[in-house]
Amino acid sequence: MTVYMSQTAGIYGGLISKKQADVQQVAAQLGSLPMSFYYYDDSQEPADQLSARLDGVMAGFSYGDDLILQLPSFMSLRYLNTLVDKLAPFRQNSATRLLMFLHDDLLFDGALKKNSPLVALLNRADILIVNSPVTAAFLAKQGVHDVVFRFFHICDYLAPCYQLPMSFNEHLNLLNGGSDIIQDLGAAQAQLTVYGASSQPAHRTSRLGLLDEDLTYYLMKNGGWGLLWPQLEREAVCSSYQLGVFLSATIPVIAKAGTVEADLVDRYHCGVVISSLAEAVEKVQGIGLADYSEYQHNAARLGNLTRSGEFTRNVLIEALDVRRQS
Amino acid sequence: MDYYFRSKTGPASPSPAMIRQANMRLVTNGLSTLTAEDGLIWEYQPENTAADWGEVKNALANQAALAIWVDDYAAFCRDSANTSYLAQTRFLLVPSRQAKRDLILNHDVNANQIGVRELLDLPTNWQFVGEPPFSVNGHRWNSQWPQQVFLKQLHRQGGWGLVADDSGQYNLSHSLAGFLAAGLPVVALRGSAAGDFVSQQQLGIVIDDLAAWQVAVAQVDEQSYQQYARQVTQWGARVRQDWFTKRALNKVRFHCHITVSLFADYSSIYRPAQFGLQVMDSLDTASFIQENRCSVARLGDGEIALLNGAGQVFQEPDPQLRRRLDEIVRAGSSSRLLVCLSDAFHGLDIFVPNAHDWWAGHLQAYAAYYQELAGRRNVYGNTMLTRPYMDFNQRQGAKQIFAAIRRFWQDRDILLVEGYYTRSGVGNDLYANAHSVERIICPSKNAWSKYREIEAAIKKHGQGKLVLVMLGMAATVIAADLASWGQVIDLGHLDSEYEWYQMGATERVPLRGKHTAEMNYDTDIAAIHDEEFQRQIVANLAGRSEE
Repeated sequence: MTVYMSQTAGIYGGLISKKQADVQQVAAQLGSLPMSFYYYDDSQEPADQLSARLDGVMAGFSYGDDLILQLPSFMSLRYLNTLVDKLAPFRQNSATRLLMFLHDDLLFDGALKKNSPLVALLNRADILIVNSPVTAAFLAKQGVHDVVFRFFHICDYLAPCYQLPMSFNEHLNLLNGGSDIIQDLGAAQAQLTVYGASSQPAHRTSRLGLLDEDLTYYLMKNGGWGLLWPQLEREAVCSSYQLGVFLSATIPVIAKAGTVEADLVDRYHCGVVISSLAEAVEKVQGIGLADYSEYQHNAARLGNLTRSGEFTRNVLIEALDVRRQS
Repeated sequence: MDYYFRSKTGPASPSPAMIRQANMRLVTNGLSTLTAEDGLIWEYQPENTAADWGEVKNALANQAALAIWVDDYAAFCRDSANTSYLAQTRFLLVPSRQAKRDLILNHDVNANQIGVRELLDLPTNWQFVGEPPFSVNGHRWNSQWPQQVFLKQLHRQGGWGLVADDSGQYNLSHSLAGFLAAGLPVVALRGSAAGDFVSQQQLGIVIDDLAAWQVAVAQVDEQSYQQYARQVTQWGARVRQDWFTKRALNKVRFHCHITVSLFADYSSIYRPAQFGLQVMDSLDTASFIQENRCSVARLGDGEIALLNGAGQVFQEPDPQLRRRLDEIVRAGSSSRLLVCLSDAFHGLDIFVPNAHDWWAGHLQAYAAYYQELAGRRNVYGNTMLTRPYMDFNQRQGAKQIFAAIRRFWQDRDILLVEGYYTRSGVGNDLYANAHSVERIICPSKNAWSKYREIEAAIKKHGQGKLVLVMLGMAATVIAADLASWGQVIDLGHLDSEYEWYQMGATERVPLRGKHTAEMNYDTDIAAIHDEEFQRQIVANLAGRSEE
């Protein structure tokens, strides 16, 4: 009854690799072992060679063990389907389950179309771990059926805990924002800091990105508000990672109405929900210290959880608790 | 923010190592440094003194998040001074599902504030391959032996573990955990928390008197024994890995600060549905009922039509009934009452042609009403749970659903409340797995007119029992009204569907000597002479005219 969790090595995977490593770290605390894939191009590899390779990858796997596959994985669908084929005898003859942990990047994969091969792969899982019920509904529209969903709600962002005083100001902090948002905010005369941007004249920019260990320190120091402003329909389904970053930095959040994150911000009173960028600027100018302190306090409370991986830990336990229907 | 686990280290307490592993600080004496950000997990033990409770008061005064960890639930509830803190507690960890149900029903605690430990653990590195040998030997737990040696010996000898420690109705059993760790199917006492768990998870047999265990195990064949053993293997592996304690510690810590929706785990409600309604599929409906031991009120096509003004064969329109049905469906579900709609909202292709056309017409006729309901964002169960067979293209799924429904009354005492001709379960084995069956017979038509007498009779005869009501629309209201009194499930149509499923019928056929759903309209039904049936009747409200 060992739990294995996949992770991909041999590639500089940027943010996806960090997300995989963070989830892996939390899973390891629960006793899970890594199942490592080494990235390579398998398109020319003969089927028997791929099969032999995966026999090696799965050498430790036994009856009754579970596998949590982290997606995206960088590996090809052929590779992943061959792996899942190899799980079949374990799943037929024991309580072995296949879980898939879906990072939000998967939803932006162009291959995720209605009844596509990627959807077929997702349908082979017993349990899918996603951020929210809205994502589950989105996946169902693409043809993902007959799987059990579990939700982590807010994406953890593992980071150190810094003891800095609260910084109450009207700054808006934006992660990886598109140029049109920046332009609109500029027109509304916002005090804006853009992270992960190469160059945006007329605004404070920071080359710090989501991969920088010190990001939360600078966000805290800068203070003000985290801005969640998804531009694409799918971003509205899953910008939970950015929410996790702001919470880990203990700064309150301004979220776009109608998004999943707006719901969470509203429920936990860790920020405000707005309908337009102009409203965002107006709101931050109108909020006093007392209200800001309350939002910041609630954000800090959630930040304590996102920094230490509580949402991931909880969803892994919930998911591993689901027993297979016989 | 820190988490403190305050414990005096009792027999069921998590080990210090487990507490450390869960990123908590073990505190055995006074607490003085709690802040509003901290979480206090306070372990209740019967020997806790007023000074110990004083620490809880201090924590609350400092606005720390308080969770109470209860292993001895019976002792906890004995003193109202303990339960007076429930309202200020963010989360409660209790030993068993019975304890959870008691908290919901008798102490008004919200279901999503309660976690269940479910089993004690017996951590060991020892593992085994294969099932233990089938035999009629029974073993009592012996804590004198070195644990690993004893586990190995039990597994080698095979047979049955006798769960004889007196853990009672609510608390967890050490010997149950031990036998599961050894891979042995068990014999447990009915009415105990262990017995309930064993019967629910099919880990062995449950009997009224443990002294008669030899007679009971002699009736189990090798195949059934191996089936139990396979189930035990799954649970035992987790017991040996300290899973249940680990899970409980993580759950309690997480919920100190976060509350999630009661329905979050039921995936099927997230599938896009017509009007944007949130309706579970049948299996999720069954799981929710099993998990929450809740009452069930069903509003099918007839109820929706009636509350929108249409007449029905078995029930004359009545303004009060109409108002009550409307209230129930608008209020939606809770942990005590699952309100169900007929799930025709996820597409009609699942239905046979007749049913397809019927539902298409129904949805068209009442679209505005459903639209309005969807705006309330309630979660509904599925009425189709009790009719999983005849109307569906793919009928093989009915097997799993009937099995899930029959688990509701596994080893429980049930009270059937039915129309004069319903005769549910007569001539089939629908209730064969119940511990006992009793019946209240009611009018076969217009049961609503005797609503008050029926409710009074249920309260008189149904205390502590699972009540299954089959009285058309009156059943919906009765289930809703009695939801805080006990578990009352509106189970209309189940018997006919089960009969058709068993005979492999491909179209509706009348059932001899009993009511048949949407078939014989309770006319020309022959009398039956079944002594067992007559013996089960504890009250007859049908009146002589029904004879």
